[in-house]
Amino acid sequence: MSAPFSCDYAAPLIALDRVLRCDPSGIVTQKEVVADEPFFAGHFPGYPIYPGVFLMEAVHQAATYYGRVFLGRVTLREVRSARFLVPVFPGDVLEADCRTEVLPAGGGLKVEARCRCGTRTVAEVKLLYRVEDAVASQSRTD
Amino acid sequence: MLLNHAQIKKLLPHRYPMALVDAVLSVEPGARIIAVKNITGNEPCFAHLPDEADWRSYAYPASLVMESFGQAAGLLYLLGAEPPGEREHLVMLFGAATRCRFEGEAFPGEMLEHRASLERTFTDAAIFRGEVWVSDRRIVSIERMVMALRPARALRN
Amino acid sequence: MAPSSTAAERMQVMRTMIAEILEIEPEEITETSNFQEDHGADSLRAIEILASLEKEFHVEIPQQELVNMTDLTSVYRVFQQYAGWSEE
Repeated sequence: MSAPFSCDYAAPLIALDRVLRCDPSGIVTQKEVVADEPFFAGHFPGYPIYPGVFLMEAVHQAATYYGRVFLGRVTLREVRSARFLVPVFPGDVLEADCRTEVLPAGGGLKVEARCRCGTRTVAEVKLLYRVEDAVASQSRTD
Repeated sequence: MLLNHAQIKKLLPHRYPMALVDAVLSVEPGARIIAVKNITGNEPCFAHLPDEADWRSYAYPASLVMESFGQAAGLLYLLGAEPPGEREHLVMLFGAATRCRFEGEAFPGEMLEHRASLERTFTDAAIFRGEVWVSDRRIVSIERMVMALRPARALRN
Repeated sequence: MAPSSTAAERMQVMRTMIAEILEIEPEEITETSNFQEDHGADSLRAIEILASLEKEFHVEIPQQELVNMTDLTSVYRVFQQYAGWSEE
C-alpha cells in the first residue's frame, strides 16, 4: 500500500513520503532524505545532518495519520523516550516502523517505533497520545 | 537579555531556519539557563497551512519545541564553568530524551521560555533536565535529555 | 539511601533504577547480565545509568570507570569502592 502524504497541521517538514503499511497493529512509513531540504542550510552550514528531532517528527506524523484512520484526533501527551543512535545524512532512506497500541479505559494511544536506514536502526521512539474523539475510539475494536 | 541572537550565533553552529533560540535571559554557568524563542506566524513550519486551517493547526510542533530546548541546553553547556577550549570543534547532537510531558501548546504571538538544568557532563555527552514555559503555563516538562558531543570533522562528508 | 542500608538493599535500588533507564523489567537484570550484550544498552544509556546512580547515592564516579560498569555486580563494586561501603 502506498499513499501520498499531506500535512494540514504545523510541521517543520513533511517527514514521510509514503505510507507502506497501515493496519490496526501499526504503521510503516518511508522518507528519502534529500540534500536540498531547506532546513539543511542551517543544520549545519557545510555539513548537513538530519536533525534527530525530525526522526521523532516522522513517528509523530505517522501516529497522527494512524490516528485519523482508526481513532480520530490524537494529540501528543508524552515523549516516553526517544533515542537517536546513528546520525542520518542526505541520501539516506528512512523507514519508521511503528507498533501501535490503544490503551484501555481511555488510556490513549501508545506508539513504539524503530526508525531504520536500510538494516541499521537509527532511532527508537516511544510516544503517548491522548485520543480526543472518545466516541470514535470506543466504537472501534482492534 | 544576557546574550542576544548575534552572540548566540557565535556559540551555536545552527543557522536559519534551525536557529531556534532567540536570546538568553540568564545563566548560572554549569548549572542553569533561561533562554527564549518567540513564535511568529511567519515561521517555515506554518507556511504550508491552507487559508482555511483551524487555529489549532498553528500549534508550534513538539519536535521544534524540543529542538529549541535542546539548543538552549547546548548553550548552557557551552557557557559552562570550564574554559571552552576544545569545545569549538565539537558538535552537539540530540542523543536521547526521556519522559517529556507535553501539558500544553504554544502559538504564534507567544514565547517559549526554556528553563534548563545541567545535571552531569562527560567528555562526550551532557545530561540535562528542565521545563518549557509559555508565560505562566508550563507546556513541557523534561525529565532527562542527553546531548552527545561529536567531533565536527567526523560528521563532515 | 540511609547509611545503614545493606548491600542487598542498595543493589535492589540499583537494579530498579537501571531497569528503568534500560526500559526493561527489573527482574530481567541478573547480577551478571551484561547491559550491552543482554539488554541492548548503548553508550548513552551507560552514562545515563552512571549519572542517575550517582545522584541517588550521592557519590561521584570518574568517567573512566564506565568501562568497568558492565553489569549489576560490577556497578555495585565501583560504587562500593568510591562510596566506601563496607563489605557485607
